[in-house]
Amino acid sequence: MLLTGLWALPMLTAPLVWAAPSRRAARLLALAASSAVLLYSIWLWGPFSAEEGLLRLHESGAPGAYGLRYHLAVDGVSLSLCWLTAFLSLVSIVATWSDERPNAYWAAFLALEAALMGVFLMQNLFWFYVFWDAALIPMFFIIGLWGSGNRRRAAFKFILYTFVGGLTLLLGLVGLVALHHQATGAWTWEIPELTRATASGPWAPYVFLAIAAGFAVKVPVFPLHNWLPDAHTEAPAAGSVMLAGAMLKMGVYGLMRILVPAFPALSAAALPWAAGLGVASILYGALCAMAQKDLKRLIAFTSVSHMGFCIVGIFSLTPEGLSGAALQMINHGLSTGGLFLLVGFLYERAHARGLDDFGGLAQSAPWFAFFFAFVMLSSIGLPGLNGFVGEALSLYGLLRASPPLAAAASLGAVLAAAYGLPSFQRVFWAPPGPASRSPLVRDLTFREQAVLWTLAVPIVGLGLFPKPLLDLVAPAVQSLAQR
Amino acid sequence: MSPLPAAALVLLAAPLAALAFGFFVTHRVRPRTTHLPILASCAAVAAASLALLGGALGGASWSGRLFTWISAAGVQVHFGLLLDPLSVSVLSMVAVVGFLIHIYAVGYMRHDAAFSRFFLYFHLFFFAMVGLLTSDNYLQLYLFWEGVGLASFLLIGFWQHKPTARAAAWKAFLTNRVGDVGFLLAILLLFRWTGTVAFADLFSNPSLLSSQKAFIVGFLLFWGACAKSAQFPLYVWLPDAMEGPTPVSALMHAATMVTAGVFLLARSYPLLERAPGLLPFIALVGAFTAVWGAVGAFFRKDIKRILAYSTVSHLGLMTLGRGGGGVFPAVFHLIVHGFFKAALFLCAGNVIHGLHDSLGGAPTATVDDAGGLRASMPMTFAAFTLGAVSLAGVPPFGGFWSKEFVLAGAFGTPALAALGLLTALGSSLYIGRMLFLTFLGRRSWQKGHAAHAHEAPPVMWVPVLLLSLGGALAGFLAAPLARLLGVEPHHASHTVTALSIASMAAGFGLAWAAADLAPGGEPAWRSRHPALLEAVESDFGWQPFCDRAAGAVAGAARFLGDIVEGSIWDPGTEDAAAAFPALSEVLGRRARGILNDYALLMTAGAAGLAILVSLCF
Amino acid sequence: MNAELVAWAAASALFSIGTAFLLLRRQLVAMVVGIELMVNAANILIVFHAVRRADPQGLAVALLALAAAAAEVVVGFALILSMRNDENEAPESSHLRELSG
Repeated sequence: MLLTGLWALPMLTAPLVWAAPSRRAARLLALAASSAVLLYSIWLWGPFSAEEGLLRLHESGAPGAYGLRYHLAVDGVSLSLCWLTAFLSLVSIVATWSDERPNAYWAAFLALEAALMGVFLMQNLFWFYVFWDAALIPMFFIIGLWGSGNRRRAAFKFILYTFVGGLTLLLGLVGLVALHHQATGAWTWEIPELTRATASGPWAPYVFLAIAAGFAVKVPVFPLHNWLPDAHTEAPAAGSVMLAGAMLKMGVYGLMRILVPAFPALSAAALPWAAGLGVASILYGALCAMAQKDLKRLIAFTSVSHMGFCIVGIFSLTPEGLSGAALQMINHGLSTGGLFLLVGFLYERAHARGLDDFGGLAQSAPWFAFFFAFVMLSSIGLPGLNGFVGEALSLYGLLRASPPLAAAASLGAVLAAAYGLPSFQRVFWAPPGPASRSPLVRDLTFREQAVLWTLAVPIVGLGLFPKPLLDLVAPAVQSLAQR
Repeated sequence: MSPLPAAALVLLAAPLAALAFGFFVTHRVRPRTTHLPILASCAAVAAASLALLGGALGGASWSGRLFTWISAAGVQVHFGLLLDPLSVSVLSMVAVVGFLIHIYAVGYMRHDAAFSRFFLYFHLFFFAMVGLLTSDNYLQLYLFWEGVGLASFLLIGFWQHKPTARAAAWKAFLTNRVGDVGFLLAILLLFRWTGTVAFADLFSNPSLLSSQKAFIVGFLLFWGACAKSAQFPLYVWLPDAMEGPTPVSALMHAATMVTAGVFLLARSYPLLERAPGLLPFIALVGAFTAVWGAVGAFFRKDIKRILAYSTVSHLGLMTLGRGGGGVFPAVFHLIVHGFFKAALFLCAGNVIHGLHDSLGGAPTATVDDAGGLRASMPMTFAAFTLGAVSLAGVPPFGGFWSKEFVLAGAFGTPALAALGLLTALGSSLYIGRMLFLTFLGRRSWQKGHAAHAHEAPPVMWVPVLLLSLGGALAGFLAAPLARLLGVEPHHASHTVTALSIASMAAGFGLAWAAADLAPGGEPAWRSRHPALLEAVESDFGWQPFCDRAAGAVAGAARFLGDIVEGSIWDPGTEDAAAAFPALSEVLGRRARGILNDYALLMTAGAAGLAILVSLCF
Repeated sequence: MNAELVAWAAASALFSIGTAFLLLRRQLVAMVVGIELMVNAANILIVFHAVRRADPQGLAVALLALAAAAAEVVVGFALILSMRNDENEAPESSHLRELSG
């Protein structure tokens, strides 16, 4: 019963938070629950490392009809994603502590955490999909109810886009089950079984495409990324953190857990296309980020660029590239999460997000400048900070698979400098704009600094000592690359 | 190779500790004292590296692993230190010069409001540079390589309120990233082809790479070095980098950081050697850059820009030495150049400082602003003269010897020899012109200004004098360095020496003729050729071309970000979504609202589905 | 005449009557009755096959369907009753025209 707690605890606390007698009580309860989940997920490392095998901590109910079964297990990749989810949930709640939000807001975050945990834990396609779509619901309300300006349009765009993606995915997953039935004569929704026997047949490419498209919307891969800038921009700060930091990982995780192991041959055949789209995402996202005038939109586009590295890492089908993709998921969660938090703090003060609204903040808010520069450097892949290791490994994987594409992808590093540093300069070095003259724009408070320091520790830690995490994901990655 | 001594750990631990203490304690509590822990760390690093140098002269070298950095299947990288003769000799120069410039900066930055921040950035650079020189593998070197780039960005843009400083900082980082992409690809290719990036593994087994692969890797490494060490075509950031405070220009953009590329090439020598045709190519690029920089330096008026182009030129010479004559000439010139160029830059800093009042606070000065400073700034004058003769290669000063070795290596190829001699001529020409215009001649700075030029305080001229003396006497370092690197230096023939001395003398003569010492106004030859001046000012169109290229990328970004995203993707998805409400509008008009109708439709649908299913099976 | 034929015939008849009620009658109570008849038609078949295959799962499903049908009738009649209070005559489907396009 070890793993159920990870999703059940936040799921059960969410209604309590909603029903809490006061806003303060709701916040406190949400804080307590998310802290407990984080501590619990870290504690799980102990039992996890005590076991042998790829998927560990198995937990399953009785096999039901039609192969439906409640079945949870984790490997290194999913465990690290559970940590990321738990960590970012706690960070989001602490970071927006002073916002006067209704109970439902905090409950939505717990529900989101629970749904994400479910996606990363479930080893049965049916349950996987249930949690996959369940994650949309709290996020829809977080954007639509508590977002900024154009929130309703953004929320509907988000839900329509990702729901259509989800339906495509459902079609593909049912197709996968049917293919498996055709090949083996058994009905099963168990992911380990579905991915053991490789699916084939005349319908396999279509099923492959449907699943790939479903996941690609969530990642998102160019050209299916259009929902992302609006959703990130209009979501409240903590919502953007969860959306970029944890939710985009669902797509990448799905590719690693389901698509590639179920269709190894097709994945290898798709390499030029898939990696080509990954490289296109890297370059297109970076170029679009260069042109943005709104800080949040800018960071949103950098997500497209960074997730491109995950894609090329995965489809390189090399252990290095896959390790890089696994690491890049965590790194992107930390650094993009940090950037969204910082922009959120800024928006809370000045109610402005435009690059030209600010300027000269390095003088009036030096801690702000320090953390922004620090996290931005990690995001643009400065070696020594976390972003570099994942990108370099993904790039190396791609180089082994296709050198010309790797050369093209490496241009992303130049473009990263071209969007990252000017945005920093405009906000912190340039002459003060209208918003930075506001007396409300003051330096980070103690609470905000504390949150950012807790982000800074893994940013440096994974930059210099990524070995424990790489070792953690190594077995999963090895078995994937050998298929 | 022996295990790491304690002194080796001091090299990294002392700067780290000083940075942490400075950032968390003094910067918050007493910002005016941030330089104290940092100077202590510089002293410790200098002492440790000199102690290591002593040991290295005794034939020792050290290496050791600190921890495992990256480990994923085929990619295994360990963090380690390698203290061999090459790194220890360059490290000693960097530590000593760096220490002196840190001291100088205490005086130069005294009145700056951001004194404390400056020292933190400055020492961050020093730390990264020490790390770069002591790395034992390419990826770790790359880490510190980017680290010095970051420090360079922060320091060039130190005076953030200036738009030019912000632009220059960005340009420097961006150009360096263009080079770094090549470096990173070279590293990844090394992993792919050899499975390792550790120097010890790579160089002890030369057969790991075929000559063709060595050429590709070597070329990409050279591309990275081109950006960092300001070689044509990627040198464009260096002249603009003079927007930073003068100690920054001296330490980073003259003496140490920009030589990292030369160091990288020296480090990779066993690899470059295996690549057919690569070394001559590198030598040619170096020689061309040397002349290109000299031409640029001659026509400039801003004293820091003159020195910046001079740095480009001398980095070209080092690259020429690297390509033409092996490791020794390049490293020797790197070390000698570090001393005299740092001294020259700091003299320029003193001039700017001395003329501060008459410049109205401008952070730089032109040769027109100066003139006749020898009387008011005797110490700076002495130091500058020593540095200038060293740079020009007047025997027996330091630059003479190192240039001899470079030219000796280049004389095998006529084209390289001609370019080398042209650089020798150009060096004395531009530095002579600068010397004459700045320190001799009439005092143009008195006209119209009530202010008076004054000598810098001792904290600023003592380090300068020491540096220029170091540069002047650096000739004595040739023999020990050659022994350290274990090479028999290839001495220049008498013809080469005679030719180079003749070029040098001709340069000084021309400089005397070209520098119109009459105050005010342009010398006649300058006003007669405005087109030429304009062409030189834009580096024969190369700078505008780079700007246009960057502008084209920015234009493409705007096209994608604004037009494609805003006018195609957004409306496209929204129109597709809007089709559904439109469809429901049409269908809705059919609905009469009678429940039985809906029931009929539902039943018909279910029946249709049932028929379809029964047909399928 | 075997049991299967009887079961199918009864179910078909019930289903047809139910469908006719649903489609042709305008009185809401009659329409609900029609739906119930259709549910029962399906239930008869489920129970018949469950018994024949001796599969208790089928009986469970039939019970579930009964419970669901009962719940549905409760809600449906409650709604109809509340309409009746307003108008004091047997509610007809033509009274509900809000969905008219």
